[in-house]
Amino acid sequence: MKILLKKSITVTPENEKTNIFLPFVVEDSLKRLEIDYSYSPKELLDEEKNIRLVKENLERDGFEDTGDYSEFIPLKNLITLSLDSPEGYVGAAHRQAANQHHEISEEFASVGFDRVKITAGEWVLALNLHAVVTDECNCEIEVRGYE
Amino acid sequence: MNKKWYPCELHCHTLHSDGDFTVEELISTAKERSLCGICLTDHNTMSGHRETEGEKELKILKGIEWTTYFGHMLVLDTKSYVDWRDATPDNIDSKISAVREQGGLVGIAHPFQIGTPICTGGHWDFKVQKWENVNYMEIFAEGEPYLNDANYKARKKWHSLLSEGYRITPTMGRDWHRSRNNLYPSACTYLLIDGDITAEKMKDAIKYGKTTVSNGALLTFETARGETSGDTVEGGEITLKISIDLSHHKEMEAERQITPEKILLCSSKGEMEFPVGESISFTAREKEWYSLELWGSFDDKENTLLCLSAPFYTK
Repeated sequence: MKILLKKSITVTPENEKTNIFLPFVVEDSLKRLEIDYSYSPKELLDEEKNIRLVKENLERDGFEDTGDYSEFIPLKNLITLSLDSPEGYVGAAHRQAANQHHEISEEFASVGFDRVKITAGEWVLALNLHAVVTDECNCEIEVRGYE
Repeated sequence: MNKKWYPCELHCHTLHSDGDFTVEELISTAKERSLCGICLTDHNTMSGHRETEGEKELKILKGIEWTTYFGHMLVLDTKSYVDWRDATPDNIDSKISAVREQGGLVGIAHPFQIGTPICTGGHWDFKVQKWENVNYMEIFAEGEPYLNDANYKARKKWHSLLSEGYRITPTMGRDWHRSRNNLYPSACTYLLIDGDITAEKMKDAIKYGKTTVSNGALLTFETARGETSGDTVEGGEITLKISIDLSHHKEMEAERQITPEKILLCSSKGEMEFPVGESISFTAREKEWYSLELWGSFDDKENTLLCLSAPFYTK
């Protein structure tokens, strides 16, 4: 086993609606990748900020503000993972889970990712920052390669 | 020529993104709903397609829902992948062109859904200039086939684009993630297909405007020459033979009553009302679009939109 990428990244609302691309190098001998990914916090606990952001969202997109925000709060951070091999897009894990484990190989791939050969060269893991509603959010990424 | 309207669901998710369905469960549930075809459009991935290879009965058109930060865009059947991650409000025309160059179709999903942060990217904020490259738009979205506010806005936007001369196909998108809490099981998009349905013919039906958006009722029409949605016909005196079919709805939920009450003929100049009957006649203007709508009651919801046709056009 070899650790190919290990990062701890803190993002803020200013980073929302952007991608953070994290390249890593895969050597010839590897057959399988494992990715562990987590981010925290998941939910916005500040009630005042929750209500302010929901009210802004409703107004911006033309929805009636009924004063009942229970179906919307707590608002959540959503930072998904996507992956590219040297040969192209491998897929994404577009879901709410804030703790994720993925495996990629030619024979097996976790849901969201194609089964692909672990080609030698530069791979890129991307963080897709769909929503960052907390003042800060910490993302932990580890990619391991196996022969 | 043996043309038939096939009930289909054009917007589906599985465990490959944030749906609760396995691919197998999606397929079996679609069959239980008597659907003949689906589009598998998981968020930002095509990995679910590998699990559809053995399916012969249900036709599956392969797609992806670009779940971007500025809108959700359905992309169907491209020859090679086009990246969603660098789409911005100002470059969307070139991104759409790239999809079209790969042979794909482009559809706007739930354009007036709420957006970020409540539903990230759910509201269409892209600044499209080249609407001629957009193939279709969801008029009914998310299992809510009534003219709620979001769907009303979508219909209004679609009408304005038709009046500007763009031929955009209307669809219903259930945005199907799971079986539970799934209201209105008979709502779907009907596709007009010649002979047996195939994924390729589904794509052509969407591309050429051969759709009817339904919340259970299916209103179809044809001219004396057999022309219908998607066709371009001569202007002047036109009689349309009308057919209303509730059989799919009755098979799905016979306990909920659909009662057709009137037909609206929509065009750039507004609406004309007709009673429900076997035909309608009117004088068609040149260079116009005409879409038929069926209105009536659905259980206790009165005066609601039951069905909406893709337009036919006049020369």
